[in-house]
Amino acid sequence: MKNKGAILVENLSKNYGDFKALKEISLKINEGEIFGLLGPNGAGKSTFIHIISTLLRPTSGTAFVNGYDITKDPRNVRKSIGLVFQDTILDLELGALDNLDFHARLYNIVPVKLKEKRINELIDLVGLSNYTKRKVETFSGGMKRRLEIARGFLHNPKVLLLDEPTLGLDPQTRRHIWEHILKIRIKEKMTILLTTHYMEEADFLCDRVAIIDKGKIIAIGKPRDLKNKLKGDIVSIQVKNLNKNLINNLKKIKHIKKLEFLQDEIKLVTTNAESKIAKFVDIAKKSKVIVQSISVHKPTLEDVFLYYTGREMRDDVS
Amino acid sequence: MTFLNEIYAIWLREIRKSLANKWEIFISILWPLFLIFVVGIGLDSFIDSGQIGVNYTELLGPGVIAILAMSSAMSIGNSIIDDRRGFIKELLVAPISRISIFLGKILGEATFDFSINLIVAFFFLLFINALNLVSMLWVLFFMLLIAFGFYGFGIVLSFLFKRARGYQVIRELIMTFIVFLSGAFFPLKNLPLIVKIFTFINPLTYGVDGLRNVLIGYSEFSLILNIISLLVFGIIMMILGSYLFQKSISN
Repeated sequence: MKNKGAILVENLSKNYGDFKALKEISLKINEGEIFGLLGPNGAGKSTFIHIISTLLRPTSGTAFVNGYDITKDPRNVRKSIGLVFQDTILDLELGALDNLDFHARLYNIVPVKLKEKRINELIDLVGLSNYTKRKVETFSGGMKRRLEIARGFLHNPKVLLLDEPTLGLDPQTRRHIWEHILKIRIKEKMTILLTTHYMEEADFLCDRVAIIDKGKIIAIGKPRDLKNKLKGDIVSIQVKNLNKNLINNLKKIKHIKKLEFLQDEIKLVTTNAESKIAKFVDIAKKSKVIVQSISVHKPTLEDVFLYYTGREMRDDVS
Repeated sequence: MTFLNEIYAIWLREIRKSLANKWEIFISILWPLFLIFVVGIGLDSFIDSGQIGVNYTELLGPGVIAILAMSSAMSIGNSIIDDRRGFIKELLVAPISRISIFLGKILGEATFDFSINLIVAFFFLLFINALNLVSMLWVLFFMLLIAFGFYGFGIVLSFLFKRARGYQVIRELIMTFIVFLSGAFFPLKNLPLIVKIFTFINPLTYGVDGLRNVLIGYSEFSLILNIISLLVFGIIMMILGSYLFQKSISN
């Protein structure tokens, strides 16, 4: 029998009528990895999570979670996973303890001593020990999220699925949640698959990421390797009156890997960018284009996305 | 064993959710008692109900208990719609069987509703000086029969009218018809024929009549007819209800 890792996906497709939400996805996630599925809204991330967690059936292809086939053995798959949903799914009129207690009963965590120990441990790890009895409806967004994350970990799943774990939270709370996830993960050692459309999130948390767009995986690898693939720095030049001359002149320069024109902005990838700035200004002058600003930065996953799709990834559409 | 544990877990969640709202509990006990005693005593002060041998408060009590059993049973549709908006995912992704979700929810709601109804029945029987264990057991028995059918009916309705807001309005309308055409507020025998026909096809009529029979000794049908009518209604609704429930969560 071949090693199926924590999650093995084989030619997975999902159609909604004519719309192809997922197209022939194949990937393998190793045990103990934090794997990120990164892509804009509507890329198919949630569909993927729903299929992996047996809430949706694939149109074709299959996947194995913890060695169990999601189409043939859904119950064992469900036993192997913990899931934190994109939207808040808690009993708001109950307290934090009751919410976790219900979950512990669903997953048959026995004996009672162990159950209580687990609940206290996790509620402590997410920093909610002082709010165990308060009704969850009085919690802030970040607190609710932390409670849901504690719940996901509670039954010690082999694989934890996090669907957009920090969607709609402010940057500070988001960072806070990441730290909690990493902290628990060091203690619990499990495989985590998370979806996100925040580049920094994938960069901060994940050992490996797959960039997904329009239902297809367009790049996969370690965040660092993906960024290194761009071989160089990102230069963005803000100009006032972009014209054909400038475009043609820029195209003539050597060692420019990727050239993108967005309205009044030029983005390009090149090595030793700093030493070329003077040259760019020169060329712009010759082409009678006014340069407003030039910035050089190391590539982010955002740039990787742009590099592969030619589009920017925005997180404001939802 | 694990099957029972699963049902218990779901049951416990329903109970905890019900107990979380203390005011709601208080009001759901107070309101029917208020109806029975204030309306009953008020109408008794100027209606001569001597022609049927019982006073109006006595007539109204069993009617209100039957209405309570019906309306609380119908409210399970609400809880299903609530869950379907989100929480159902937490249940569906857990390694438990679908049928225990269904049973756990019904049992949880029923335990709570029945407790409320029994408290109301207790005070009513105490007031008319007829409190005894046999009467309370009869109340429980008819509550089960009535709830059995209307749980199913509530589920069927909730699946026919998917969006909660529309569902509320339709449910209120249907419940109003069921309540006022059940004879809970007046005896049936002097009604015009057209109204009588509607009361005869209304399952709650047999619940009201059955409860009156066993609690105050006044009735218009035989006890056997009451029980059989409620049973038939219940079986049909349960088969339909569980079929729709299974169908909705399996895709």
